Amino acid sequence: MFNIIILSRFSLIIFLLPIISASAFANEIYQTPEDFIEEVFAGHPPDSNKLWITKDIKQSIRNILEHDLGVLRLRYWSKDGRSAWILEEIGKERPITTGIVVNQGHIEIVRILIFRETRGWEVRYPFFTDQFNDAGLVNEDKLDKSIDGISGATLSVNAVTKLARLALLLHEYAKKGKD
Amino acid sequence: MWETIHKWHRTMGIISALFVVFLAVTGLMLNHTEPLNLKKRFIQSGIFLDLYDIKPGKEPQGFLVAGHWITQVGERVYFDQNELAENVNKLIGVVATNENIIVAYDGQMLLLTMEGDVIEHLTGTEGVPAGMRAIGTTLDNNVVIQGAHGDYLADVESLYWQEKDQIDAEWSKADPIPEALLTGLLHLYRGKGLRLERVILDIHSGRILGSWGIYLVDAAAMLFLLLSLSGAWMWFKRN
Repeated sequence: MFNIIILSRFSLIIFLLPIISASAFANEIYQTPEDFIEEVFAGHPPDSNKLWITKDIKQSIRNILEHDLGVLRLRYWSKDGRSAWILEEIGKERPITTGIVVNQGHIEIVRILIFRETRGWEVRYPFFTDQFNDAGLVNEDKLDKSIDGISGATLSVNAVTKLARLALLLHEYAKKGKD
Repeated sequence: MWETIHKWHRTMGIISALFVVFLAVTGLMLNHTEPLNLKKRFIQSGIFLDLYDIKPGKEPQGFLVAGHWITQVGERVYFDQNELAENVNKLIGVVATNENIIVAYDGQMLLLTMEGDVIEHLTGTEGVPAGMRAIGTTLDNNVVIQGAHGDYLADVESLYWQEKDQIDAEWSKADPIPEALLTGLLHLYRGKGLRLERVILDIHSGRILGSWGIYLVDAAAMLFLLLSLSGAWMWFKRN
């Protein structure tokens, strides 16, 4: 009888574990965007710059995200050829906030800062985000290296990959604007 | 014995046919959620919306600024009749400067054109003071924010947040929302509150009929089991 009770409790835990895990991972702040900007500029972040979303940029953004960004201008932080971007894209239902640093046209850092979805949180781990290191753009808006997906996290993987492409693209536009 | 099982098998077959049809149709639809766009299509039928009790969880709150209504209904914020933001917990206030309308909510700000286009989304990364409780304007039309640690004079263009001990300001306050606008906004809100995918999923699992629906689908599953057992038994007997 005692064994049956233990067994039923254990079964209940096993049954509830995915639900508990899912809710625990919802709305997870791994690093605040402010701390990310501080960190990537070694505690001395430059003043932010504004990138106005012109007609050209708008179309390029639409080609990558398959929708508009919904704002007329974006802030970014730039110093010595490096630019840092805080970008968001919806994986399945909720936005994934990502911090991306682009250095001389190649990705230096991709980091998931806030994850609000109930699934696909594995994209936060370095085994996934480190794949983007040194990636650049080819054919205007494609990454020049392939990114391995994560089974069960396809939508989150797609969202982060789109944001990496977007950051590279915006870096180029920002550079053009400054030149 | 043979006759009895055969008769029961036929009766169960007819009854289960109905379940097979709706389980197969809804199952097929759920298997192709993306191409059928089930996640992006919303139910508009009042019957279903009432059944799911789709309504805002708290009283709508509106601010009349520069001739426009900025209203929070549930977790959504509207500029007149256009959706401006979702997943909003609390709309703190709205002010207008000479060139912009500024919407403050949940430690974030939306900088809008006078026509309601979003210029920029400002958060703590851009320096929005932590624990923002109120937004207002001074007599000379500067934006003021009341944060957790004091009042701030805000320049949203240069992102300069100057902390002051106390600032004499006119703080943004909610206005009574006109009935016609509220009715329209509630209609908009409900119309984006229930995804088709959810209804199909609930029809498939029986949950659309509450707990009895789940038992009904359980009974159908038992019926399928019995049907396959009786069918297999008859096939073995015949061969």
